[in-house]
Amino acid sequence: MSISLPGDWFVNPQVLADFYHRYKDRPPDEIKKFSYDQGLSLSKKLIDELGIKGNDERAIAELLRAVLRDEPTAKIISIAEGKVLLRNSGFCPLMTACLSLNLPWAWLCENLGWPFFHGLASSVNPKVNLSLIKRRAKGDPYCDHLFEIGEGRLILP
Amino acid sequence: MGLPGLVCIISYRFRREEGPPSAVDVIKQISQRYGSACSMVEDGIRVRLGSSDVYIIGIDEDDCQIFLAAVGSLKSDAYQTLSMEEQKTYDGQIGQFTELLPDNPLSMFTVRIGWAGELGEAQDLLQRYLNQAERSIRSVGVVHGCLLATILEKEDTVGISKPLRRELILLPLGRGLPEATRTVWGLYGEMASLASYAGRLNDFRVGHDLILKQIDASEQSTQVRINEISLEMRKPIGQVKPESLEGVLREVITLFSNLSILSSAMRRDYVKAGVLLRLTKRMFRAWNEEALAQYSTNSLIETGIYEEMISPFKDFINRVDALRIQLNTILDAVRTYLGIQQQRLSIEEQASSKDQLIRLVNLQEILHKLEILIVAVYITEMARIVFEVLAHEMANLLTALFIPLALLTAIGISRILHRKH
Repeated sequence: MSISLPGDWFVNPQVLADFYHRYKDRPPDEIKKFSYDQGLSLSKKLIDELGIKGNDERAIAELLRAVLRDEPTAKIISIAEGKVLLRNSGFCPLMTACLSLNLPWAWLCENLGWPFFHGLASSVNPKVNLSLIKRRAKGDPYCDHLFEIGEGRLILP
Repeated sequence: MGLPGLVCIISYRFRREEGPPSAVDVIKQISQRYGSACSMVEDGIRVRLGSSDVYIIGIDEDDCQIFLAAVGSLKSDAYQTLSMEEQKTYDGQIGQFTELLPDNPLSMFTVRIGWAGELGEAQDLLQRYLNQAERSIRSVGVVHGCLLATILEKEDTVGISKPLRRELILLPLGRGLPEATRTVWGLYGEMASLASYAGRLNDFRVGHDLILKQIDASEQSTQVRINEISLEMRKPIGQVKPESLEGVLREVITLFSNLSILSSAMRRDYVKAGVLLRLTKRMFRAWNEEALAQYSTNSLIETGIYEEMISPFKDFINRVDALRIQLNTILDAVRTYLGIQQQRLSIEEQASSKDQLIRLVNLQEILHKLEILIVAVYITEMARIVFEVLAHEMANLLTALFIPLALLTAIGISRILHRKH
């Protein structure tokens, strides 16, 4: 059975709960790959729609802004050479879903959230690395996602 | 079993539908390990270890599984002395059994027991043990005729670490051994319930700790955004574009929905935790604990700790609700803006309709005038035909003289025709 997930997962707690209960026993790498591909496919569509050109940090930032336009507390903090730092400091939708439906926060972030974002940025540049410098699921006050042109890896602390 | 020297009460989260082994199954596994040294008793097992007896029982409740392991002398008339040496032996013996229990307990209550004739003797016994163990008292009181002391944790982790640990000393006062034994076993039953309630309360707190910690940063960040939106909304109405209002509306709805879910989920858990807190308070009231000298009672300190465990839930709900109220105000402002803008559009539309009407009336007047001219031209032309037949040579002069009459006739015709309208 292939993995599937409705596109509104990041705003619909029930979708996340159904997903977790259906696939929690699947190998994590399989779920990460699925989520990565989902990010990849969404960003390809957005790149065409918005006419985003290039494969540098500015293109990545533009794409992230478009994806997060309805997430008011997710902000791009800095754009430097080959690097984009995205900070989410508001009430995280995954955290909200986890609290309301008693789901494991870290599992959803590691298997669903971050591979999705990595997939998003990889559509602009397949060599982009995503490092999670700070994680709210580990007690930090916010999540810092550092996108950096590198080898195309997802790096967790 | 007589008066045990050491009792260990361990509680676990237990949901039958998730399929964990029942307390009976766990105890059976332990009994198989000890073979002939183990015998079944009415509600558990009894294992003989040298000169000691270990008694283990397990209970499955709705949300919790509790195990009680008691170790003491084989002799039913043995008096516990609360000596360090004796307690170390019991620790080792009971440790063999607690190792066989499942991982990840909710709470672990260790109760060390001694026997004292009267209160002064009990206080001396307690002080001697504390000196030997290099520990100090956190709280103490008299419960059901027993001196009950809680030992201060080595590390101050009370309330925020799992499992919830308590180390207690229980000294039955001034009564015969059989009566003291009965009282002590009755207290163990109550402590088992307390371990379950307090363990679950602590688990609630630990489980929500990361989310509760988020409130400062998340509240600040949301507040900053709310302030930005409020500033945007303070602009003169003409400067706020409908697209910008749509964006604000989308943002506010996203935030509002997130906060509503968070607030209701936290309120649900606060209510659940509140039920456990009420149960612990009820038990402490039943203890009717008497204070001793300058020490705080166990029930007072414990109640305070449990209240503190759940108070951040209430704070979280209040802070999230405060943000929701601000978002509601913004939603009201957006609604008012939209209403005013709609009213303006309507006034502009009305003004534009009036202009159009004036232009239409003017046009109609011009048409009327043209109509009169056309009719006059036709009458004049007909008159020319008549004049050419009757007075050919004077036809032009007569036609020219007839023009005013033709105009008056055309005006008359036009009035007759438009009278109906």
